[in-house]
Order: sequence, then structure tokens, then C-alpha cells
Amino acid sequence: MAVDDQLAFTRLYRRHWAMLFLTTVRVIGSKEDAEDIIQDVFASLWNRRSELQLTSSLAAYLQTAVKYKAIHYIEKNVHRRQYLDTLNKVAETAAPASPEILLQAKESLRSIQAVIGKMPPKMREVYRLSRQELLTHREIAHRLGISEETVKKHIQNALQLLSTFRDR
Amino acid sequence: MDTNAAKSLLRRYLEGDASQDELILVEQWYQAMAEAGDWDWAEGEQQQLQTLLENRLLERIAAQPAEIPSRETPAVVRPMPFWGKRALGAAAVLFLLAMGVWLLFIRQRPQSIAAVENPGVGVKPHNTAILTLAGGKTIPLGDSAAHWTGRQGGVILRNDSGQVVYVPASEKASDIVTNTLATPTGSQYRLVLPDGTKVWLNASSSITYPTAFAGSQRRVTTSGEVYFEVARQDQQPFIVQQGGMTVQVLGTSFDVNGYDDEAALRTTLLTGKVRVGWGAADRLIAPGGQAVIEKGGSEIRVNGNADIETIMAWKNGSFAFRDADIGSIMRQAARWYDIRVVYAAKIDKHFIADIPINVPLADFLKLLEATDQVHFRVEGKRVIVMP
Repeated sequence: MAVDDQLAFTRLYRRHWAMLFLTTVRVIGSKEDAEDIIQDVFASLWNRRSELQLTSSLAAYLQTAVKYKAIHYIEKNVHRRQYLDTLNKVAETAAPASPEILLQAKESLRSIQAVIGKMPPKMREVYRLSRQELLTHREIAHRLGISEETVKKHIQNALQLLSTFRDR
Repeated sequence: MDTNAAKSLLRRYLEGDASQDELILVEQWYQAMAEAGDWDWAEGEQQQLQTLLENRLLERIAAQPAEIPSRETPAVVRPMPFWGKRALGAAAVLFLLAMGVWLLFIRQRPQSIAAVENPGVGVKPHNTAILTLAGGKTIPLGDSAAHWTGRQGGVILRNDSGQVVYVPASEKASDIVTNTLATPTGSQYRLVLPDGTKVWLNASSSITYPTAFAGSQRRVTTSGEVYFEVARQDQQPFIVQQGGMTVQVLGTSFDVNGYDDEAALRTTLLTGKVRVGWGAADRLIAPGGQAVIEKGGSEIRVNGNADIETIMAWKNGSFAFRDADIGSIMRQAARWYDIRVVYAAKIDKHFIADIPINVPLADFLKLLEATDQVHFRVEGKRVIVMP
């Protein structure tokens, strides 16, 4: 590991970590778990430094990565009162989306669509039929002329791809 | 909403299955929690935590199994490290590589325009080259072989950040030997010759030169595309040979372009004065001019008003296409991305575009596809061009 790479990385870390940490603690409500999330994101950034392609700024990439991890964390812990309360409040208020929120939503969708777009055609088709047309494995197998086992495998692989993207 | 519904909503968000309204709801929720969260730094906590976490992170990284960086030229463009050894300065600068807005037009009859914005940050182009010393020994150069110094004959070579510098140490004729510096596809490199002349090599190019310039002339041979800023030495004209073309210079900056798969050899002059020779023909060109030699022909055509910016775009990190046909575009792409281009049908369109050279192949193709006048299918190293 070259000294220069590490130096650049450390500078990056120092520049971004505090803001990310602050946001994450506020969102998930736990310092220890927020630490884990931030560290995971940066460790992953380091590991992927040779292959990462950024389509926007690094700050945006980090914020999105952290957001995904945070939301994943909440999904696993959604029974905790604080999350549900806020969610319901936001849902009830039904405020119109600000331009910033719309942009975020668009960005999230785009990132995921990018992952889906990169799936091999068969996998993508199976995934789509399952998630969007809500077909059963049997129905999909019948529609595409493949076995249910294959359908199941495609879905597993698709989810694996998405979770890699999500958990990066 | 109950726990299950919430869980399901989040799952759909993370899997890209959420509706627009659901996306918005989750984003708003995230924002609301970030804003309402009542945690803040305690006195001195941030600094303390930073040191602690930073050390933990570095330890964690160090504890991972070492990676073997790939040194080979990738079969299809594999993005290179998005920061390199040189890219220090402010870490912030590393990522401000966005090339800003650029426009992609197509011209057919009639005119139509497609605009594409901001391809965003791509990858840093890698600088690798192969140095061949007299006697045939080859030395690969690149970011990973930075900072070495060697001695050859009467010359000291220093390789540093994408550039080889020759520092003369002896003018003895017996010590002078010939070296060649060559770039593979997708790579640029720089060189400083023993007289101080600066050389930029574009992809798939080479230059052969002596380790010292003794005698009445300074002669080098090139292939591909090479840009020179020749050090002024009135008593020793600098001569470049490429194909059958000779370019004679006194002290000046010019670009020589003569790839094997191009139909013409071109020399474009930026500053100074240059005399271009081809067989029996001989033309002087003035700054801003370009000499064009059709390989099958016998004459030299001079265009007084060369589009310098477009011609030199490669040196400044860009592909610049002006009314270029798809063949010309793909030939340039092939030198950069190491692909083989196959045409499924004839494409009659012309394109105007500026694309940063550090964009990965997939994005390069996607950008052209955005005009909807050409489409591509990539199969390993093969790129199939379709209407």
C-alpha cells in the first residue's frame, strides 16, 4: 500500500467523516452503530479505490453510501419506536417534496436502476416480473419457459447484486 | 403505518422497487430524522473521535490481505485508481475532475441537436510506457514504477510521474546509444530529451531517439501521435521522421500525427517554424498551419487555419470530434480503449463532441448513443457499431 495513496485517503477521511458521522448518529440514534457504518463505508471506499467510478462528487457518493447503510440498519431495527413515529409523522404531514428531496429520490432511483441495468438480461427480466408484475416463481417460470429453480436462482442473484451495491 | 409496512417500504426503497411517492417518503423521512436528531458533539469530542476512528480505520485496512494491483493493460478499459501518487495537493481537487457541461451534436441533413450534460467524473488515465534501451532490454514505466533513476551510456534517466527525463552526462560519441519510448493503448507519456526538448506521446505511439545529440542535427523517429516543444538550438536543427515524412524544426512546438490506420500524415504547428518534407516535396508552415500528406500521394497540402484546440485536445485530456465520421471516432477510441471495432452497417452520420479521455468505455459509448444515431454492443474486446 503506497504511502501516497494512504495519505490521500487520510485527507479524504478527515474532510468528510465528521459530517457523515453526525448525520448518521442523528438518523439511527446510536453512536456505536454509526461508527460502524462510517468505518464500513470508508473501508469499502479504500478497497474499491481501483475500480470505483464516480458519477458525481465524492461527497455525494459517501453521503449516499452512508444513507443506504443507515436505511438498511433501520430496516433491521424498524420496531424501534423513534423510527416509526417519525415515519408516520412525515407520512401524515404529506408535505410536497422539495427540489432537494426530488433530486435525492431521482438519484437513489438512478443508482439502483443502474445496478438493475447491469444485470444480465435474463436475470433482469425475472427480477422485473417478480417485483413489478408480482408474479410467482411458477408464473415466471411458465412465462419465460424456464424452471422454477432457475427463477429462484435468478432472483437470488439479483438480490445479491443489489445487496452488494447497498452494502458496499 | 405499522412495523411490517415500514419494513416493506424500506426494503422496496433499497431494492429499487419503490414508487416515486415511496421514494419521496423515505427521502423525506431520512431528512426529517437527520434534522430532528438531537445529538451533537460534546466539547472536544470531534477531534478525539477523529483520531481514534482514523487509527482504527487504518489498522483495519492494514489488517486486510494485501491487494495485487493489476499492471497489465486491461482488455476492456478497467478504470484506473481514481487517485494516483501525484494527486495529492488538496484531496478535494482529486474529485473535481468533472469536465463541466459539454454538448454532443450530430450533423446529418438536416441539422439536429442532442445535448448531453456533464458525464461526470470518470477515471484517471493511466500513464504507462515501455522504454527500450539499446541492446533490446525493455523497462516498463508507469505510475507504479515512479521515481527511479538509471544510468545508460553517458546519460542519467529519471522516471517520475508519467515522464522520463534524460540528463546528459557525457557527450562522448562512443557513449551515445538509441532508445525507444512507446505507449500502449489507453496511455499517454512524456519525455524530456537530452537537449531539453519536451515530448508528449499520445496512446499507441512511440519515439526513437539517441541518448545524446551530437553532430549537426538532432534526429528522432516517431510513430502514432507525438507533440513536441523543441528546445531552441540554432546550430542543430531538430528533425522528426515519421513514415516517409520529415519535419525539420529550429525551435518550436508542433504535433505530428501519423497513425498507421489513418489515411494521412499531419503536422500541425503551434509556434515557431517548421519545414515538412515528403519525397521530393517540401513545404514551410507557419504557426497555426497544418501540413497534410495523403499517404498514397506525393504532395503536401498546407491548411493555414488549423483548429489547434481540437487537434491538441488529446494533450489536454479530451477527445475532440468536429464533424467526425464514426470511423474516425472509433479509430481514436480504439487507441485509447484497446478494443476491436466491427461495423454491422454503414453509419452515415457526423458527430461533434468533446469527451474527457478519462471516461470509461461504457460511458464513452453511452454518450455517443445518446444521439440515437449510433448504437453499440460490446462483446469482450469487440465493439459492434450499429445504426
